Amino acid sequence: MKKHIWGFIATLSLFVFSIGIHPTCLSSFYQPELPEELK
Amino acid sequence: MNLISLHSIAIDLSNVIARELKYDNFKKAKISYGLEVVIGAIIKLIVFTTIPFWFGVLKQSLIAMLTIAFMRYASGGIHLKTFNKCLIVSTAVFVSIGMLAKVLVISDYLYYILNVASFLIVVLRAPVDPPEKPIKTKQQRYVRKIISVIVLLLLIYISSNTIENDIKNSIILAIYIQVLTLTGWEKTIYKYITQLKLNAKEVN
Repeated sequence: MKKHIWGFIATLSLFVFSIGIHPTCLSSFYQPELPEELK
Repeated sequence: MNLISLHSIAIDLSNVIARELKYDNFKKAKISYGLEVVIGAIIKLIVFTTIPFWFGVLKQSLIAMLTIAFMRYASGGIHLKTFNKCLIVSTAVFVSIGMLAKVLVISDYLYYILNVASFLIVVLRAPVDPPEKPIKTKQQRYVRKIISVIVLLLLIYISSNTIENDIKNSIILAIYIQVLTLTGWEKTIYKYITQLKLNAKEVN
């Protein structure tokens, strides 16, 4: 069960990453820093 | 005052997920970024609805928030260094727009001048990419400039066809605030403050 919850959170985060990486800015005045591995 | 950093929470949580699901560092970094956006969005949604609601300007603030969100998607703008600062400043901006939108009467003449100024600023300055996530190619930059101009024109069209004064004001005030964030005005203010401090030291 715990694994499913982590899996769900991971999938949601990966989905948000995939849509959040393209726009110049995600709506607000703070932009999460892109991790070193992805630069 | 040390508030909990959203960035560190996202990193800690992604470490746990990566360990549990045996993900590599690359996937972990993606999860960490996505988590920071998700947790931030949930907190912002709660704050951006409850505080304007207390002030009685929920409708106007939500319209301003949506307007700024649409514009910033392509055009970008200034950013604050931490999530907490962003939350406080954004809430203050949205509540202020909501309150002003209720009482302000903008003449047609001023409305047209500000719209033309906004258009010129967007054409000249957009997109303003954050250093945390820079735009890499010229082509991407060009596409985002075009999208920014289209979004601006669409919002001006919507505002000009809105009959209710408070909604119209919310849209146009949000447009002007967002356009201001493209101009780099905050750097000018910092420069003046530094200059004033230097002058004060010289006098002393």
